[in-house]
Amino acid sequence: MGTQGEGPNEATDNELVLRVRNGEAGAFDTLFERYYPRVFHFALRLDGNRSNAEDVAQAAFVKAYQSINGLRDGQAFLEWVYRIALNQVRDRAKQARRKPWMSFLDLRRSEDTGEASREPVEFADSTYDPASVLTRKEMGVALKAAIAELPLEFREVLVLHHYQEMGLKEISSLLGVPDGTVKSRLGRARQRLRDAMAEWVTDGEAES
Amino acid sequence: MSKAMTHTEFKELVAAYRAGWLDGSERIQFEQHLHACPDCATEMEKDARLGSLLAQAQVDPAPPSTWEAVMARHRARRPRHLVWKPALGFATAVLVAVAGYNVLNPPDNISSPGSDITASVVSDQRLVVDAHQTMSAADLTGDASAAVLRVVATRQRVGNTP
Repeated sequence: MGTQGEGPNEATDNELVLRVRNGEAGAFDTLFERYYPRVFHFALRLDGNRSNAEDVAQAAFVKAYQSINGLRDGQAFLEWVYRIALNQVRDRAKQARRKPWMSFLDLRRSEDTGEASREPVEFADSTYDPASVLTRKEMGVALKAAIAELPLEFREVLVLHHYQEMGLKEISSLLGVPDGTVKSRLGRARQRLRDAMAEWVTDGEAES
Repeated sequence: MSKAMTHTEFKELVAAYRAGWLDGSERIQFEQHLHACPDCATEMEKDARLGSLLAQAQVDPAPPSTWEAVMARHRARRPRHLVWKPALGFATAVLVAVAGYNVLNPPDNISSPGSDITASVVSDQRLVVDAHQTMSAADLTGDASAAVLRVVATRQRVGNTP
């Protein structure tokens, strides 16, 4: 999962971790810059709230920095930080005594700052179809809400597979559950999403 | 896979099949069921469309952040108990040390040792409490060692008083 050094100036995760351990605090900057966006998006997909996701991602890196001597395999740095972030999301979910899901306020915000509003629409474009844009926005909001409604254990597998692009073995290792459980959770998650998104999945373009 | 799967179990494996996560006999069994089950075939089509929707769903970019800023924020958020608990513990240790010193080295002008030692301890307690209050009043930024030196200096003045 970790990045391998490709260029002469690009150190591997393992090299950077060793340098941090040897007192070169600046090496952690590189690890942070390399992975912060991914860990933030991971937390955001799980929690649904940008502010919470920012807190989780930053706290995960702080904890990683403080306990870097406990990391056996430096190449597994990203997986390790994912695990720390995951535990924080779970703890927050327990503390809140509710599923960590997107509030209506967040939904409204994401609509207000959606792609269409940030990228001005060319009205002269004959392919521009307001109804289609509206439908896409509605679909996006519905999908986010449907994902947020999933139990956290299903959402974890869905996010790790679809958005963090992790394979079966990586997910089962990260979550500490058997392969069969990962398959089953992904299956149930997508089954629930198919039901929730019935309006959009009954016809239309399918991925190959 | 030792036993035959039910339709519900096959349906649950649709996503895993599409992800390429089935192998060996599990995959063969699933494909055999798929050919014979229109319901699962429909679920496969729906799942493919869902995959397209998931691929379209984007989130806003991560807010810009640097490691330096994160650490600064973390330090600023450091819980207060991590600051005042050690200070309180240190003050208590000083109290015990000063009281012990008084017991082992009573002042020369003691006429009634018991009562004077008690008075001295009470006096030291007050001084340490004063020192701690001084540290607290300085928003816990005061130097603990400076406070201790003040206590000792005051103690010496009290001890030198005829």
